[in-house]
Amino acid sequence: MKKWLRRAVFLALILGLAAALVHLRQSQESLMARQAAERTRIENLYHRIDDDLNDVDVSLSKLTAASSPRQSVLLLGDVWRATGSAGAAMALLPLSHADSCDVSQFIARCGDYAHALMGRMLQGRVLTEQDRQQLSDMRAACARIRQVAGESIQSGDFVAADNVDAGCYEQSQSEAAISEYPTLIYDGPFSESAENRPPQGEPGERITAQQAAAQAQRLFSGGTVASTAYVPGALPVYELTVQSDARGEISLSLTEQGGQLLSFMSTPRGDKSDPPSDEESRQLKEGALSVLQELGFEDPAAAYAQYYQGVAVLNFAPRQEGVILYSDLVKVYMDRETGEVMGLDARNYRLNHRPRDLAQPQLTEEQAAAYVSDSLQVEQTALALIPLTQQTEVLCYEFKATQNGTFYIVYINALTGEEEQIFQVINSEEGDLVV
Amino acid sequence: MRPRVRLKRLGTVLVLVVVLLLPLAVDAAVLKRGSRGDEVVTLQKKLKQWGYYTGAVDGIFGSGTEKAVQYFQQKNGLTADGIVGTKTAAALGMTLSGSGPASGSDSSSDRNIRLLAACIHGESRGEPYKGQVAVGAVILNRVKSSKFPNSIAGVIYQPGAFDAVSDGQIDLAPNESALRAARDAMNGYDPTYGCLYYYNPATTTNKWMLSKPVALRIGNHVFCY
Repeated sequence: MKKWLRRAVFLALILGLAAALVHLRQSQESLMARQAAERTRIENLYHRIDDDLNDVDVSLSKLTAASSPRQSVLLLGDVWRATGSAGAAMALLPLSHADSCDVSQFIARCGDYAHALMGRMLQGRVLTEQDRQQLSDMRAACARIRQVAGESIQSGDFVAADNVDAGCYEQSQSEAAISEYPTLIYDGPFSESAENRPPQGEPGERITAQQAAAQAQRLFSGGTVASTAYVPGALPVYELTVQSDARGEISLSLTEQGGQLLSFMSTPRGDKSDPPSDEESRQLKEGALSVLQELGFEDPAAAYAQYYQGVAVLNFAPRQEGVILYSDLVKVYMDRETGEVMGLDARNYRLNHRPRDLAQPQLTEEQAAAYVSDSLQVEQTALALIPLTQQTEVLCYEFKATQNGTFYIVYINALTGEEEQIFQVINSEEGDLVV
Repeated sequence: MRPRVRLKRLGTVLVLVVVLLLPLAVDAAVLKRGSRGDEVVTLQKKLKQWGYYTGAVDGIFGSGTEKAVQYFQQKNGLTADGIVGTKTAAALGMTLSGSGPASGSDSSSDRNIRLLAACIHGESRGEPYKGQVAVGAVILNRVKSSKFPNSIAGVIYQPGAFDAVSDGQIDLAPNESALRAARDAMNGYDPTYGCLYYYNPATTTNKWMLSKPVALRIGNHVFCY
C-alpha cells in the first residue's frame, strides 16, 4: 500500500512537471511564432512601399518622355494608384507618428497632385514648366524614401511592434534621413494652401470677451451666460455656455471678428429615430427656416435632412440671385420632441460666405440637360455654385434624377457643358445622405 | 490516520496535475487561475494600467493576477471570486473570445458610424458630451488630413494611435451617447475646430505631444492642431 502510494505520488509529480514543461515550451513557441509573423508582416509592408515607390518612379520617368495627353493621363493614373497603395502600407507600419507623418503626408500629396493633373489634362490642358519641375522634385524625394526603405530591407532592421505601445507619437532619437520634402503647388484637397485656408468673407470688427457674453445674452435671453474659452486658429472664437431651465445647457461659439454665431448645441429631450411624417417634416423645416431668417442667414434653400436619436438635422444652402451656394451650407439641429431648434452649425457659412461674382450661364437648361446621361430620368433642375476643389467653384445646372429607383444628382457646367460631379443619394432610414 | 493524510496529499498532487493540464482545454469565455494566452495579456495590461496589478505581463493567470482581479471586482461592486466572466470582462472593457457582441449593420456607412462610436466610447466614456463629439471630430479631421490614412478604419486602427484600440476597450458596445456623438461628428459638428490630436495632460508623458500648442480643453482632454 505504502509503496503504491509513493509510486503514484512520484508518477503524478513527473506528469505534472512534464505538463508544465510542455506548456512553457508551447507558450514560448507561440510567442516566437507571433513575433516571426509580425516581422514578416512588417517586412512585407516595407517591400510593398519600395515596390509602389518604384512604380511611381518609373511612371514619372516615362511621363517625361510622353507627348500625348492620353499616355500622360494613364501614367498619372499609375502614380495615383501607387501612391495610394504606398500610403495604405505606411499607415499599417508600427512607426511613431512624429517620425512618419511627414513621409505619409508627402506620399498623399503626390497622389493628390497626380490626380489633380489628370483632371486638368482631361480638360485639354497641358503640363506647364512648373508641373514638370514639381514632378521631377517629387521623383527625387520618392527616391530618397525608397533608399531608406531599401536600407531597412537589406539590413533586416525593422521597427518592432512593441515600440508602438511605448509612445507612438514620440519622435525617435535618430533624425530621419529625409527631412525635407518639396512643396507641391496645385489645387487639390490635400494641397498646402487648401489645408491652411483662411476664412473667405469680410472680417468684421473684433469683439472682446465681455461683448461676446453680451451677444450670447441677446441671442439666448433668459439664461445664465458663462464664458468658457477663447480658441485661436484660422477662425478665432469665443466659447460660452448658457444655462436655462427651459433648454438646459447650451454651448455656443461666437466669432471673434464680427461676433457672429458660429455654432450652438444642446441636448435633445427624446430619442425618436423613425422617419417623420410629411406633416412633421414640414413643421421641422418651417421652424428651422424661421430661426435662420431671425439670425440673418440670406435666402436659405433646404438641401437634405437626417433623423437620428431624437434629432432632425436639416441642411440649408443660401442662394444668391437664385443660385444655390453649396459651399456655404448651414446645418440646423431640431429637437423632434419639442419641434424647437436645439443646435446650429454655420462653420461652412462663416468660412465661405461672401458675395460671388456669378457668371452668366452660356447654356440653357435644355442644352445642359442634353449632357445628362440618357439612362437617367431628370426630376428637378436648379442652378448651383458647387465647390470642385477648396479653391475653385463652378456654376452648374443641378439635375436631380433617378435610375431604377436610385437617386443621383448630376452637375453640368453651365458654361461649358462639362459633367463636373455626380452624387449618389442614399435613402437610408436616417434620411437622405449624399455620397 | 497516516494513510488518510497520504491520500489527501495524493489528492492535492492529482488536483495540481489537473490544474496544470486544464489550461489546455480551458473554457474560452472565462478567464481564471490557470488561464493563459493573449486574453490574459490584455487582462494583465489593463489591471496594471489601472494600478490593480504589479506583477509581470506574461499571459499566465497566476495567484498575483487572481488577487488583482479580486481587488478590481471588490472596487467595482462585483462578486470578488477572482474569475473573469462576462460581467467582470465588461467592467474591464474586454470582450472574451466567444462572447463578442454580434452586430447587424448593413451598409458601410452604418458600419463606419458604429466603429466611430465604439472608438469614442472606448476613448471618452465619462467625458462631457461635447468631449465625446470632439474625439469623433479628431478622428474625422484625421481622415481629411494628408498626414493620416484616408478612411475611418485606417485612422482608428493605425498602430498605436488610440489607447482604446491597444487595450481592447474599443470592443465594448457603444452607448446611446457615443452613437449620437458619432453621428453629430459625421454631420460636421466639430467642437475642436479642426484639431488632429488630443491627450490627457494628467497622464501623458509624451514630449512630442506636450510640445504642441494647446488649442482648447474639453473635460479631461486637451486638443491641438
